Amino acid sequence: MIEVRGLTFDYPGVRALDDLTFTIERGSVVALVGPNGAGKSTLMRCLAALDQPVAGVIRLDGEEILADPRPAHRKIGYLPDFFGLYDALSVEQCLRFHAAAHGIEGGAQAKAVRLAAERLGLSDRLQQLARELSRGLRQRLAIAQAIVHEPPFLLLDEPASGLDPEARHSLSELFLQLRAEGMTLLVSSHILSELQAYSTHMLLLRGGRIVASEAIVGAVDAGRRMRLQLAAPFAELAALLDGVVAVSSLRVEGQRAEFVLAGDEAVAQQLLARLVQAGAPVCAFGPGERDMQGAYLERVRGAQ
Amino acid sequence: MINPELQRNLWLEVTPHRLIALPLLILAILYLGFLSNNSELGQEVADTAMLLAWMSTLLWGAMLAGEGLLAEVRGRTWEQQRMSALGAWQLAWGKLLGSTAMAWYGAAVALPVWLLACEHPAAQMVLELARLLLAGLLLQSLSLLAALHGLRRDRDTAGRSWTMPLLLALVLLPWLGFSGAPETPLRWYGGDYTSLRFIVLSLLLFTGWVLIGLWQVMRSELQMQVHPGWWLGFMLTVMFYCAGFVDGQQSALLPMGRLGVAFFAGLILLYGALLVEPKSPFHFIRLLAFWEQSDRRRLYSQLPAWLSAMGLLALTLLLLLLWPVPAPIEGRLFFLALFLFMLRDTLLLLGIAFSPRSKRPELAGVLYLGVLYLLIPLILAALNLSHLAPLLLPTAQSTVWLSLPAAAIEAGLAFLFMRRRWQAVVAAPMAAPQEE
Repeated sequence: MIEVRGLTFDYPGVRALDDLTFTIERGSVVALVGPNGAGKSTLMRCLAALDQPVAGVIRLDGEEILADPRPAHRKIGYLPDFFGLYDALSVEQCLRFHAAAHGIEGGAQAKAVRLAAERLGLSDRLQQLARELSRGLRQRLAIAQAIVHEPPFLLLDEPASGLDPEARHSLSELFLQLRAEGMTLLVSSHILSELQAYSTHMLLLRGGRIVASEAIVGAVDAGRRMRLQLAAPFAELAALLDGVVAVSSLRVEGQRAEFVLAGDEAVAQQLLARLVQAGAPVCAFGPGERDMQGAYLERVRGAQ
Repeated sequence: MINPELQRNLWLEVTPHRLIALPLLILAILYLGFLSNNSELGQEVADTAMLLAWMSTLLWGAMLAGEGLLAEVRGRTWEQQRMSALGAWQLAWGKLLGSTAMAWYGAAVALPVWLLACEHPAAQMVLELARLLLAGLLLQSLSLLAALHGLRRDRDTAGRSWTMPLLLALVLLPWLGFSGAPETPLRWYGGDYTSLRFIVLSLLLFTGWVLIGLWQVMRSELQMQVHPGWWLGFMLTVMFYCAGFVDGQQSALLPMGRLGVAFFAGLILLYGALLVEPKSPFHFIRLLAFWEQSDRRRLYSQLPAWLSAMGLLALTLLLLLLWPVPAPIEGRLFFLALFLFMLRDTLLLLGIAFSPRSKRPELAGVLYLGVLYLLIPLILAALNLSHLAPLLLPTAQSTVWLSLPAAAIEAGLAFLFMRRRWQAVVAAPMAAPQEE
């Protein structure tokens, strides 16, 4: 578990992080979102103990990482937004070096290198020099380096940048797999639809402050948030739903509507009956997950 | 297990092409020397071999040591190194020996020829070999240390940091050179030494200190705690070392003379630290925040070296003022004037660094000091007003009654200047980050 208390970081004349306090539970995948300049990368660098904040405490499994960062680095994997590779080394040498630099020796090292290469689809390129890799493959090698020592906590700053759609999909699956294996991930990205695919929580930063820290899937809103799909246009849909007391946060887009419904299944059944009775050509009606884009915009508007 | 950082450097530096090409080049030069010496091995060929070993370890090695680190910064791999679990010492020596591996290889190719051709006694040859190894290690460590220091000060301009050790190498070469008479007598704290033996012992001492410094600065770069005591220890060593050259066993004023030289040596180190270390107001705001949070660990760890140097110099000054020997008062007060002028310069440089528009405070500081200590005295001399020079800089013990009040007033004015700049900095509101 990561505990952050009162984290404050200043650049000359600028308070980049302002008294942040939050907790990241073990096994969660936290999407770190916010506009450019919100402090996401600075927060990541502080969590990686690369920069010393002016104030605050960061604990990883109860141990203060700022007091002695080196042991903590065995437990943390970090992919910065602008990373470099040793271009004159082969993929295998890059991975071996990173494994050894995190204390993995002998047979365990070969196993760790093989596993990381497999996970990132680099097994057939182990002897290729890093300089010969395409942009997407370089990104995959950088991620493989970050996870080669199987860190319990992984920090990834824009990990999907430079990847093609197929590689992005594979990356999403990898993150889900890592989570299933017990790894905790903090992922910063601007592509919210991708974060949606694997994140369990969202941490929204604006102006160096936390605007929202909440779960994305699971208990929150699922069951209450409803999704309605019509088979044909129905002009009265918005007015009809708006008139229902139990309905809130209504969003109607063409033949589709999303809203929050207060009440249990009986209330939902009554609403559906009313819609059908009014002549609405309902073809789908059920619980809908709130997508990250919606949650993000909702919170940002709330903060404004 | 081999040090991973050493292993990585060896992967990058030691290539089959280099392994073959470097010996060919060195042996070709030595063969030319052999032919020029009537196809005979002799001291001339030995000197050529030693010169090649010196150039390889001191010049090329020093450049490689600093450049290795800076290439990592440029290649954006340095942050990943900082994220590794390697200890600071492990990282430092792995980098130091790994990045300079080819330089040592070059020396290793030249040295067997030197061993075969050298006509010096065996004991002298051992000392000459030790001198080469220690001088190479010293300069290479210094180069890496300078690159690390440059990195801490400004990551964008750190590329020039290794040039200083290279210049130092060129300056030191004649002093360390192999052509000097090795038996030249030398007195230090009343003891007699031969110059070669003394140089080797001195190199041993200072290489040890530079390695300690490298370890501590690497710790700082890795956000680990740094003990400020290492710098004070180094400073005390330099002061003690320099004081040993003051001779005159019969004089009752000998301790005063040695203290005076120690004071001068400390003063030079203080100015060096003042120019090299970061002086941005942001650094001091952070220190004040640590002080307010009673976070002594981080406060002491990030305390500027020049500040602790100032404390040690103040203690030395106290000894110089109060040492119970019949020394003239002007002589004692001269050191007080020196201290006050140093205080003025420190406050002036801080004031310059605290300007929000200051981009290169180190350069601006050097310029201001150049004007104060060089340009104005030269102008005064040209105007036949040299008697006014003590108003700006300590000139001689006889003018101390003029220098002392002037230094005190100037230090006071510099303090007001620095305070005004500081207040402007702390009064400025802390902005939220600029979002796009």
